[in-house]
Amino acid sequence: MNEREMNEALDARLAKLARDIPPGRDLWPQISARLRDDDQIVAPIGRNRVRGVWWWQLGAAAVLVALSSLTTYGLMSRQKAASERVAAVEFVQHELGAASFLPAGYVQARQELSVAFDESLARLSPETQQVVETNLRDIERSLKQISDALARDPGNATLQQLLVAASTQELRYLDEVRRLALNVPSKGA
Amino acid sequence: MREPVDQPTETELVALAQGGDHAAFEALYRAHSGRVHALCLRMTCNAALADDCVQEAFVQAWRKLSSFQGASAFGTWLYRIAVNEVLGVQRRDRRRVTHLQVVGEEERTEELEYSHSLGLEAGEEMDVEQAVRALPEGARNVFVMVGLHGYSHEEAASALGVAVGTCKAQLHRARQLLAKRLIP
Repeated sequence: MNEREMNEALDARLAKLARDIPPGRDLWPQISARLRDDDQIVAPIGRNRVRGVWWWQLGAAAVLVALSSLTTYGLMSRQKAASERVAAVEFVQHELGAASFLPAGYVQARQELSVAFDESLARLSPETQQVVETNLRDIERSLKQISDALARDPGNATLQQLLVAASTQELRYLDEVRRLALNVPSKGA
Repeated sequence: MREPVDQPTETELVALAQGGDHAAFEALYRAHSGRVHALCLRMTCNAALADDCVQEAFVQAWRKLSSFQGASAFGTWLYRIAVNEVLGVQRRDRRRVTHLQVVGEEERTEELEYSHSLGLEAGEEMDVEQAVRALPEGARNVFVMVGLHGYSHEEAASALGVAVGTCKAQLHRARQLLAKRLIP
């Protein structure tokens, strides 16, 4: 077989390969949740917002504060099954009546992230886990201080923005730990 | 009889998304995620990393959308962002490999997940995909971009940060390695 024939044979085989391969799962809910986080930060300086949007943001932030407590709980009891965690998140969502505030897929994405985070954390060394837990406690302390201040002054727009920013920071931190842990082999390997 | 409803064009969807319309951006995601995923999957050779790159690419695209002027097609602009994400992952991965040895069992698991992501069973196409996966990283990047996804050498060289001549040489090398493995 000469070079031209070989090239033609190779091209014929390559032509059969798909150029479009959909992801194995729908990635949109997670992307959508992150876009909304971005919107909350960009809103005061950029995009047009509708009146009353702070109610949605406050609702989302309140859920995030509650969920962050669940995450702490999860860190303290890693043996807890993922299914129990999801049930607990659903309970908080129901108790807060927050479902109407939140966009489709947001809570689900947050739940997935929470479960994925615990799995990711287990891949890290004990020393790194300690650093991560300390950092998370710092973020959660900030969240608590802001939410306490908001309870005293619910109409304070600056505190509302700070709460959204701190919640977003926590969400990003959880996601970043998950991303970085992908590069660490599991302990069982 | 109901009148057919005109679907917005891609240019219209981009304009709506630039105004903060999530639904329009979701439509762009639905239209392009398969191609972005194919690119990421073949360049990373890892299903989980590919998903991560796709997610990150769309988030970055959203953040940079105001800078998109329409000088190129939206897809071209988006794929460039995805390629940058993959290259970032590869740089991190390279640092990791200098410290760790891939354990055989883990590698087999990754291979199975990769095959599953491609949606292929054993067969001719799977053989070609595995041959692409086995290419050295530099040659594979160029081959996936130029040989499979239609980039010009100039575009690929610019995205990869190499000379056009290097890009051409890598493509030639990739094709030779593939032919050696696939053509009897």
